[in-house]
Amino acid sequence: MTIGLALALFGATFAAVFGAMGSAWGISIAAEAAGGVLSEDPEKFGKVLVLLALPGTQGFYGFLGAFYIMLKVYIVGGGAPIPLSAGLQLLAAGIPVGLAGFVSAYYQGRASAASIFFIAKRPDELGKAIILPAMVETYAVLGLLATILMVSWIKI
Amino acid sequence: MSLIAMQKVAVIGHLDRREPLLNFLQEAGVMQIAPLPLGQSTTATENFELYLLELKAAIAALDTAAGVKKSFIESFAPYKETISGEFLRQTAKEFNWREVIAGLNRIGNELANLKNLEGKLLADRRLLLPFTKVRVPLDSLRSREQIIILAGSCRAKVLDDLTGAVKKLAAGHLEVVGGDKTIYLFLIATDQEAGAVNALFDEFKLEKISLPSSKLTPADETKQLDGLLKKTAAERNAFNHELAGLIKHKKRLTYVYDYYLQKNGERLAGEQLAHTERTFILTGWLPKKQLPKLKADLEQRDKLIAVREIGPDPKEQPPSLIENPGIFTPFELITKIFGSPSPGDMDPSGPLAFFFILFFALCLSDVGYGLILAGIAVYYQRTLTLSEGGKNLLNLLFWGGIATVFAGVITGSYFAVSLDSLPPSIGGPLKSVQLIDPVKNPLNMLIISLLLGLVQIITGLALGLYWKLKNGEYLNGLFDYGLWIFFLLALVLYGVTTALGRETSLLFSRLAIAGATGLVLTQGRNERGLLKKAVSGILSLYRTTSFLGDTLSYSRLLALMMTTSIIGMVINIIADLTRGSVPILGYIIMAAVLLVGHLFNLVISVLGAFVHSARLQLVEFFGKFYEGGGKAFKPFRRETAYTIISPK
Repeated sequence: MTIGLALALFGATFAAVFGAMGSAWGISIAAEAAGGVLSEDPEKFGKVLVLLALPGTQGFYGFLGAFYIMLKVYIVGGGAPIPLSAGLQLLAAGIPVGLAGFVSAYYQGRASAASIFFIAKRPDELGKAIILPAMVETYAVLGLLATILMVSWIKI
Repeated sequence: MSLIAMQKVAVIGHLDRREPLLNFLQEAGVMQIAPLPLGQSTTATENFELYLLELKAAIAALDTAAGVKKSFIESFAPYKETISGEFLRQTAKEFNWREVIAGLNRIGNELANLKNLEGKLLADRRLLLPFTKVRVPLDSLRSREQIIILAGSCRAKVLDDLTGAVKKLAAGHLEVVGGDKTIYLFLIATDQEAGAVNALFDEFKLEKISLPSSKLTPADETKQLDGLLKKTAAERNAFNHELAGLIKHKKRLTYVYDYYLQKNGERLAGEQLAHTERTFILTGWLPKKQLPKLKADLEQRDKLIAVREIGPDPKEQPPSLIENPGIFTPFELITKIFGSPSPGDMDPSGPLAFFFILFFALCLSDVGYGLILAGIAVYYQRTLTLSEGGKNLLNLLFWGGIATVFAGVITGSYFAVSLDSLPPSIGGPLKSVQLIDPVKNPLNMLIISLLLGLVQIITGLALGLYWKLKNGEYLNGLFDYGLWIFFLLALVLYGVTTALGRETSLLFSRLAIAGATGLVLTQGRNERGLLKKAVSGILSLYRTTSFLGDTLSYSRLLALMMTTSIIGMVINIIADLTRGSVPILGYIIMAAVLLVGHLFNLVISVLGAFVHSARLQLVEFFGKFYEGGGKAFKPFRRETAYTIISPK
């Protein structure tokens, strides 16, 4: 295994771990709000669950970024011999989705919590309530996109 | 694809006709009542709201008793029985629901009391349990004149020290009852040494135990408690049995609930009327085309009711009701998320339909997922009782599923299975219709996404232009929309031709400059003074960056497309790994991984596709031409919670 391959895997790790941590954090914030709302009205579980799930996507984006790097370095077959410079490039490519996902998932969790309180008072407005946290997610999508484009363009 | 013309009317009639009229309007559900300031509370002596609260609590209690659990889907679309309004009325009249509620309350109270009693008995029993070996009546184990007797417990390791300390008292005795890690004991001393005894409790962290008072020994008392507990359990069972006997009334209670929901709606509507001694007046809005029928229904049947068309109050805005041809109706849902159009605005449901479905399909883009989604939508349409919004949502998902199938064919995605791994006889033809492979070549898909964005943004501006021209605002339309379309198209074509090294780029650069000049000259036209006009004209070009940002926002189409397909791929890989893990059983595990994994991916991908496609409509598309701000038309009609009232 070359150092380059190890660095590339580190990029994948960064993407997956930070995306997942952000989602866990974001969902826990939304879940705290959900717990409060459900204690008043357990019937709202379905609607609340949809809002609760929204900050979960960053974890998937991070995983996706990681998987894309893994695909690139052919880790299934034991890993291609990656030169040091390409490894560093792939490490850099893992950062956008990981970091943007981490921070945006936290803030999306807060937006979801606000939407959960919104739905508690106005259960008919689920559409609007979903759109608000989705605005935050845009920036995680951009992070993912940056990662994908970098990975697909990096030459190994 | 448009707003429906609304008409405000006044209905005047004799007071006798008030209730039949409200009944009629509630059933017809065509008119939104506009409250009159002279409204007064009606003479209704019954407190419908209280009834509703009582009934709801009773229904919930019976659901709990019956162990009814709502499924996830049911929490969105509870089952509703279709029933006639007359039957509801009959049930409310004949069914003695108050007796059921009184019974429920009594049983509820009794059960609560029993629960308290049981709690107390169990607590006493737990206290007594370590002391059952003591063969003295409990009452003789209490402090009395000159003697203190205290029951307590301590940790085993302090026992020796405690024994020593008690021996130092002038007249003290430590009686150890038993115990393993925690030692239970009695401390006996004279009351002159009360202070010293308390100090011992503090020093050795003894816990005081206040045993229940009784003439029996602890063992006998425990037996008696056991007897009492058995009795309470039997009583509780009896009450639960009685409660179970009431469960059969639940259905009728829901009928009564829905009946009083109608009555309460009628009462609330009645408060929005104005009255004289003999007459009432009701004002409200209804679609203009419904007016002749309403007049016919009311005036011709009854000479004591008159319907008159009236104008709106100053600053009053008619409520908005949009109507679209059947195929576009589901897309009103997206418009309504943003807000109904205000009068004079256009209804964007039709134009957004095409883009929404296209974007939704691109985000999912898998033949298998599309088919499953369409199938699920059809299944739930058939099996669930749905509100208007629910029906629209499922229709939307159905069409989204169908479009996803086509998008899946183009991107060559069939449950995310790699086409290379299929036998050539199947994979070959499928590959020949595959136009894009987003995983291997994301750049192409990115360019397509951005181009689609550009198309939608220009379409939005074109709609704005069309609407302004239609309303006779020719200059506003041409300057604020036409010039922008011209400028943006020239700019994009300049960029493309330059990149391709074509000579026509010079022409487009000149056109773009002409467009920009036009914008600088016109965008400040509403400002006063030449300087202000010039400054805001120049600053208007800054809006180009917002168009750029909007276009980039469409890159999410690529990202979501890849999320769906790569997570699908990962599920297939994991399933493949499990297949060989255990003989025979491996295939079962593989099937489970595939089923659960793809279903999970489908759910989160549909959520993402819906949310992000909707967002592109609401933010990027509507931002160009649609303002919303209308108040949705909410006709006075029958509202129900548990049933659907069949039309007569």
